[in-house]
Amino acid sequence: MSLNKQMILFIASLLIIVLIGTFSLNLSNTKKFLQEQLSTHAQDTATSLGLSLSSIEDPTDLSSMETMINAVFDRGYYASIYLTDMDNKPLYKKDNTQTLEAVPDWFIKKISLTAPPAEALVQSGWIPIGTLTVVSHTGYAYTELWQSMINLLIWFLLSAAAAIVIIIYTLKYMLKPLKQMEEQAQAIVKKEYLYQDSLPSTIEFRQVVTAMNAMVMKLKTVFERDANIAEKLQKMAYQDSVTGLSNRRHFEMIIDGLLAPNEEATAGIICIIRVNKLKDLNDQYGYLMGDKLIKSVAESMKLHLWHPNNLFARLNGTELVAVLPGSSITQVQPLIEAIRQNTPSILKTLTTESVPTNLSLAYMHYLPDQNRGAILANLDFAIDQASQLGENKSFFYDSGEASNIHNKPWEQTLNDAFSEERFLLFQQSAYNLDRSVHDQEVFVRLKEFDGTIRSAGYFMPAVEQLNKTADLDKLVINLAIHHLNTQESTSAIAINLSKSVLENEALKTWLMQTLHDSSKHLKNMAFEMTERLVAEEKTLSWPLIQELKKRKVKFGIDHFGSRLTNMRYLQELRPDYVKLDAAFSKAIENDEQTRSYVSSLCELTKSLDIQVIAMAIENEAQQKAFTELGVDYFQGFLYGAPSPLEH
Amino acid sequence: MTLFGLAWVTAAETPRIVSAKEIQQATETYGMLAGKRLKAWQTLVDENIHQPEAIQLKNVNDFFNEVRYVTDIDHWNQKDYWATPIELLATDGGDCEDYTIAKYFTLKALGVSQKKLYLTYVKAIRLNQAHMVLTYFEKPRSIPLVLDNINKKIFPATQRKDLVPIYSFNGDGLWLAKERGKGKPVSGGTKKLTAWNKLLKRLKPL
Repeated sequence: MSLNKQMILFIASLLIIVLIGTFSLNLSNTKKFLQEQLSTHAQDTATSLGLSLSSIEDPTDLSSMETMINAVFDRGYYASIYLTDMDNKPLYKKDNTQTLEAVPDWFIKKISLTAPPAEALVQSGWIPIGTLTVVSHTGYAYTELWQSMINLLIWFLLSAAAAIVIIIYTLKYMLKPLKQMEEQAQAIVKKEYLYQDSLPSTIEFRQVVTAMNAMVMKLKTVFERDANIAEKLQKMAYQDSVTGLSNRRHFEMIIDGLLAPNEEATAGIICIIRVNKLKDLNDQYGYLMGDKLIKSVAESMKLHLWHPNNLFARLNGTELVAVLPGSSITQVQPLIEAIRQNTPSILKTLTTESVPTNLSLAYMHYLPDQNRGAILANLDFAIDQASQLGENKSFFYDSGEASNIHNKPWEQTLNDAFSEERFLLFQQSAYNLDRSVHDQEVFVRLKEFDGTIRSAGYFMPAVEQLNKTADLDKLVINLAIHHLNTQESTSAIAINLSKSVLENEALKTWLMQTLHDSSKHLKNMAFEMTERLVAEEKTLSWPLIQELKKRKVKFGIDHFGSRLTNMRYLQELRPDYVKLDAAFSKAIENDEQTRSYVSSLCELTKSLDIQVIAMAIENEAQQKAFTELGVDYFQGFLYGAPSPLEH
Repeated sequence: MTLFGLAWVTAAETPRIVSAKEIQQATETYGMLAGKRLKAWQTLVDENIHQPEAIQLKNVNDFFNEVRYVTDIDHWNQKDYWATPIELLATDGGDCEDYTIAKYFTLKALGVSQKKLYLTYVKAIRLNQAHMVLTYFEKPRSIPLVLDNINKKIFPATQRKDLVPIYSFNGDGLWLAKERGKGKPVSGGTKKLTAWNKLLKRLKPL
């Protein structure tokens, strides 16, 4: 029971005891008084009537006496008046047995009022001739007592009710700061930094709130410091200071991730831009000028080839690279051409009269199963070809790796797959060191006519191009819920939400309704979004995430740490877990800077009670390296390849 | 002390109307004579216990009529104070009620039936003042004897033309009526005690 309720109960009981005590005391006093009245009233009447009767000169004149007695008796206040002679023989007798209807019988039975008989002598001259006995009627006393009891009762009930209402409101007001302190304390436990601006007026409460505020500020500072460290390490490790693009290390990490034979790996285009004779520019005008040019080229490249999934990096002093997963040559060609044609205006911005520099552009296909070395070698070859073509020329290097994505009758294939229900779910679990499952991440796969199982990387570009992501998302969620309906599951099923859910209101509504309908499974469901959506599409993603959290569904961030972004949003968003980008796993063993960065991420997330999962773990060494940095959960081939969810 | 002890033994059959302690207290407060008067009162009871009622009436009437007449306002500094017999004797002073009361209780102690004794309010015609006497009825309807402190001799009521009877009350009747009503003599709840009740209260140890 809450303190508030206990206090109300305690004070109300005290109040009621006091009121009941006062009530009974009051009633008993009234009763005593009335009892006294009955007696004195009878005695007074007996004496005065006795005196009157004594004044009758003829002691045998009974009729006069009777008349006098009647006159008094008929006033109605008496139960009986007897006149007896000196030998106790009755001379005259009046009785009133009438009861009063206004008073209930139980009351009369409960409270016994007795009217004592009062006696007085009647005399004639010196000689007593009889005794007069008067008994008051108790009816009036009962009526009086009953009335006063009713009045008292009403008065006490009203005052008790009023007092209790006042107590409740006063206590509520007085204990309000306690409620707020409770909220603040709970927020601290949840690592939320709730600061109370208005201090309560009660001294004790104010001191506690001041102390708690100080604690909140301290915790906040600690988090800010961790976030700053992480940001600094991130920049040092992965960012080129001149262009703000990824540096070579980041490029290698990301491209390794893109090429790894994982679920989402798709083929795409890779593009390289080389600034020729940059050294001449540097020699002639200084390094600042050279940096300025590189920066402009980087901006132009980013501007023309912008897509959220794309990676832009500075490979070395003169070469910039763009990786465009899922793009086709027909999409990219005009963009490259645009950059090329834009070159003169870039050079013009340098405002120097003669510029010795020029650009070369080259681009080519890459496939998920290629290795990085081969691709880099091909890029080298391609860019040399481009520069041999002359100044500001582009070159498409057809390595014969042309993807087959874009020449397949995809629309038909996908439509058939949907109608024939040939999409199925695979899962890969994340474990902690004790091999207990954190979650089962599900992947959608396509079973072709001939029984070949295709992973998402194979058909997703087509799905996106044909605007079927919403259908596919729906299908995945339905399959997952179907699984939960049929299978006893103890671990959570983690479902990836794509951008289409965020952009498609109807799909969002459908998702919320579906979650509402299968509320018993919510504790076994987790949803994941990529860091890009969470950190860079806040206005779209956060409302949905809040909705999910409100329904107590777990929420995780996928590809965590891969974007060059500020991590402070974690404080506000509070995901349940983050899955580190697979790229870290490639670098974790050898790269000291990646290790420090991952370590700082772990510290940051741990301070917010967010679980960290390392992805694409392929060997014990990687797992050991992550464990040392504070990662608790692991997912990857070391623990088994993705397997069909149903079994 | 020996004397007292002796008196105690011989008086075993007769009621103690006044205790040794009360006598001692009266002696200390009001002097030797007060103590002697109280002892004389006890002696009166001792000597008359077996006497016929006529003798008892005369002796008791004579005994108390020896007491000085003092008005309440002079004696007790109160308008209407009903003194106990001990107070009356110890101070050697009282007014009509005090005589009447003292006679009433002494006769009662001597075994006279309370039914025969009445306290009667009368008007003293010559003095033209309210007065109280004790009346004794040998039989319920007989002419009562008047024990008065103005005319110190006992006379039948018919010979007291100087007194007009107004009203009588029987002390024990009142007393009993009280007891029936309360279960106790005078409860603390009674706000206004009558003079009679006040007296009874002070008489309680008697």
